[in-house]
Amino acid sequence: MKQSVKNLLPLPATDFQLLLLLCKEPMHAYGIAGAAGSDGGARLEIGSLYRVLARMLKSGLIEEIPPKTAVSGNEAKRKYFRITPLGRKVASAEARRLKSALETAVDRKLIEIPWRTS
Amino acid sequence: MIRSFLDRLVTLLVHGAFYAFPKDFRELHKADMMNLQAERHREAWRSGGVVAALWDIVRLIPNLIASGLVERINSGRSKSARGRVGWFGVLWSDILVSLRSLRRTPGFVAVAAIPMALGIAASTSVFSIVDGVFLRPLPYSEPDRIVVLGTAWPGDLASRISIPNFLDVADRATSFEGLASFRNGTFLRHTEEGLERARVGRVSSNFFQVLGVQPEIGRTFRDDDERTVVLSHAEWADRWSSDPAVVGRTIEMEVLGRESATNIYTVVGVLSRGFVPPEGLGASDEIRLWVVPPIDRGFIERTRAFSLTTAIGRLGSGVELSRAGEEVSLIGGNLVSEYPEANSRENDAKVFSITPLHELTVGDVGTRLVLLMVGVCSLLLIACANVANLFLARSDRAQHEISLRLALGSSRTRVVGQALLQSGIIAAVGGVVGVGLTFAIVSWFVSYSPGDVPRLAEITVEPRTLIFAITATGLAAMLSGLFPAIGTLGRQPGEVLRSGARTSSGRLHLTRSTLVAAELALAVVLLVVSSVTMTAFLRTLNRDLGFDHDEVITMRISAPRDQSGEASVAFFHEVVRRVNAQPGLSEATSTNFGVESSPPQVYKVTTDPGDEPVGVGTHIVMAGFFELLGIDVLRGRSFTEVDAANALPTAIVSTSFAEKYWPGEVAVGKTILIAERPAIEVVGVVADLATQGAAANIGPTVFLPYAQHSWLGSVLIMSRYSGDAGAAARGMREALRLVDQNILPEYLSTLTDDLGATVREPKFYSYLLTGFSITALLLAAVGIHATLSYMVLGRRKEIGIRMALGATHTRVVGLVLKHGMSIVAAGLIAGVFFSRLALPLVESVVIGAAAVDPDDVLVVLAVLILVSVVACVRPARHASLVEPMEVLRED
Repeated sequence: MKQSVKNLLPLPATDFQLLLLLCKEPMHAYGIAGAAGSDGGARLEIGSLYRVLARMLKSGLIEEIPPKTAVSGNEAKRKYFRITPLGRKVASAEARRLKSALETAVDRKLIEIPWRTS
Repeated sequence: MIRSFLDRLVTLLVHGAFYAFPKDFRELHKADMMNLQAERHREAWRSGGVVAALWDIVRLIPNLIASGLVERINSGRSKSARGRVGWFGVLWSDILVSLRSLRRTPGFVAVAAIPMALGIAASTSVFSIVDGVFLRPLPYSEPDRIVVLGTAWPGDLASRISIPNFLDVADRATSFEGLASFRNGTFLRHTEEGLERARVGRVSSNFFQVLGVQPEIGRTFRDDDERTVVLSHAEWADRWSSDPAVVGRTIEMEVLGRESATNIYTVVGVLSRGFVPPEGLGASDEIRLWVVPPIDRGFIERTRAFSLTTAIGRLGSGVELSRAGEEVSLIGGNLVSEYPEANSRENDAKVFSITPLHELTVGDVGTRLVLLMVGVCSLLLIACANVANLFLARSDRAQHEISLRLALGSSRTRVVGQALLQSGIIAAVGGVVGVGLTFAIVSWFVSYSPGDVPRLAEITVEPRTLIFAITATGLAAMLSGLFPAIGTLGRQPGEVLRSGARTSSGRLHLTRSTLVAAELALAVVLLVVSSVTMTAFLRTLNRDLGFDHDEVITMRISAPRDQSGEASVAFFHEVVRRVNAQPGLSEATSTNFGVESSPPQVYKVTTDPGDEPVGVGTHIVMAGFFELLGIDVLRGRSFTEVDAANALPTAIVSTSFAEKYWPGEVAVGKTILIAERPAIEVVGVVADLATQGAAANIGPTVFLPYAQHSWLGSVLIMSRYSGDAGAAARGMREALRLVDQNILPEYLSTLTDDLGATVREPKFYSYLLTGFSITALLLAAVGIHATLSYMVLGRRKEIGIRMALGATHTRVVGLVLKHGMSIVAAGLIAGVFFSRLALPLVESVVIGAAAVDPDDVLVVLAVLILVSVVACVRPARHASLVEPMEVLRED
């Protein structure tokens, strides 16, 4: 079910976190679970992780890709996920939304981080 | 080893936890997830050993289950309109849908839940009260094994026995675990304020063991006890402030009538709060002290002919009632041949027998219970009909909603499930409120006790009945809730939708009206029955007893033990003479029977030696009895001094006796036969009188002169007094003291007070039935109101068109009222018809009901009509407020 970018915003924090991970490269669930914990985000238990993955698959933010050829063993059974063009649009829209939220926070003197523009 | 076991366990747990997820989710992701989990698990083992592996699982399993359930809810929510989804999602979304749909009509929830709650509460609390008072087994251990031992002349009720006969049976019988005796007694108690009368239970030392009763504190009696006393719980609470150190304290008392020596009794124990003295033996709650009188065998042997005590026995375990009965009658036969002068008379001998205690206690309550149970069931039926009716009333709208869902692709099973769920929610609300209400009513009843109910302490909410009532009304709600769904399933959804939301189907409407009419009919029956009962009760209170009981004082006394036969008659005559000499007392007389000691003596009487003798209530009276009580002698003469011991035997009979045996003839001059005595000549006929109080039936009665039946051990001295009853009582005591200082009154009261105690039970029934009918009336009114309201709602369009075409408000109101009144009329006619059928039952159960003219009672139906009209008013007003244009634009 394709959805418009606007309908999917604001993106739940976990979804955004996973999209950011998948922006770099396609990953399998094991990698996502490991990276999610070490990336400053919340650690995801398997059940929660797959709920998020299922949700994003359904709304078309990510898609499954066939496993890499010429691998065997555990590698062969793994499902890889990659971000779709819609996923990118949504992620960047979400990032812009967060950016403006952050600018407001600076305006209101909530934080004092010097803004990195480029 | 540990690891492989743990791994297998983990796999099993994880597999199980996956079932929390919806099926399609599992199909898509389970393999991958299991894979990931296995890798994680291996890694945990590698890095942290068994602890880390276990910790991993502890975090994983709850997360899997929680995520799975959330997923189910979400998928149910988003997919509820489309095809197949998991059961959980369906249920959850159905609950949400039902709650949403009910929230739109909060009035409906209240209106449907209230009659349910009322029906549950009314029927359960009434049944609980009846159960506590009449049905519950006697509160003794294994009450079925307790029997009453007694002797009687053939054909009479064997409820009493003489003390020597009792002791001999107790010695010889082997069928019993124990045999114990009980007698009522009155002691004079020395208190700081002076002497005080106290009701005392005089028992044998094993009495409480035979009943199987444990004391609250201390102990009950032992064989070697001397002058010990056991307190009732009430005595302990009132007089001793529930002092746990009461054991060992003393009470100073003297026995009324027999000995004048004062004795000190030591408290050995207190009975538990739940202990109920065996009413079947004539014991009552008023007994506060229990003592074991010493047995003076020499004196007691002389009383073998007199049934002075009651006796109970506990059958040995496994002993059949019939076998114990045979043994008792065998021992009785021996005692008759050993003591012929005490245990037999010319042609027959005393029969020794046993009767189950329950039979003696509850007596003929059975038939009255039928009436109360009919009441309970009617009420429950009304409540069910009401709930069903309300659901049906709503079903037009519900049908529309269901058709819409079907048209949008909802499955039939789901539609039915949703309908069930909705009515289930309402049933649950009604059930919860009903349970609360039941407990409130029962505890109110116990604390205020309208009508002085016996066995009050035993009343508690009866759980099985509560469950039954909830199930019955709940089922009614569920089944009637299904009705619209089933009605819709048979038709094409489009057809229902096209017919418009607000048109009601005629068939349903008829069903509903019939239900309300049936409810009304039942309410009418209950109203008629309860008002007949109430009228009969009120008449009972004001009933002409056939005698004048105002300003009559009564005193029961026993003759001194060394005076029997003619000497005792002389003694009683002397007391009567002395009473007459007291200032303020006059017309003193005596009889063997008073209202306070039911039932009367029954003799076998016949008028023809060839006929089978029949038991007839017999009163032995002194000259002046009829005059004191203002009883008219209709024919012949009253008793006088002429009817002496050596004179010709005479009798006076009541009108109903004369009419029964000599219809249309003159009774005076006829003869009657009592047992094997010489023929007795009837010298007079008196009007009927209710000697057992207003609540009892009047039967044929025979009066015999005192002097000719001189074996009386205990009599009632009666006298007219004027002014203060207290002064009259002192005069009676003084008169007795002047005759014999050692004799004290066993019972002293005014006749009017005695009669008051006899109307307790009818009062109780009247209150219960009135409660029934008021609830029934309320429920019926709710039913009428709801039906008409929904009718108006359903016919809004029609009413709008009528008004647009020029119908006046009055006509519209008339239309609604006409509909309402036709239901009321149908209900009334059916109700009156069924009441006529029910009345014979009522008349057989309620004394005096036959005398109530049913047509008088129909007046109360005016109340019902009035209530129905009130119930119609609001719907009618709503109809008249319909704005034609608004309604016509609605669809």
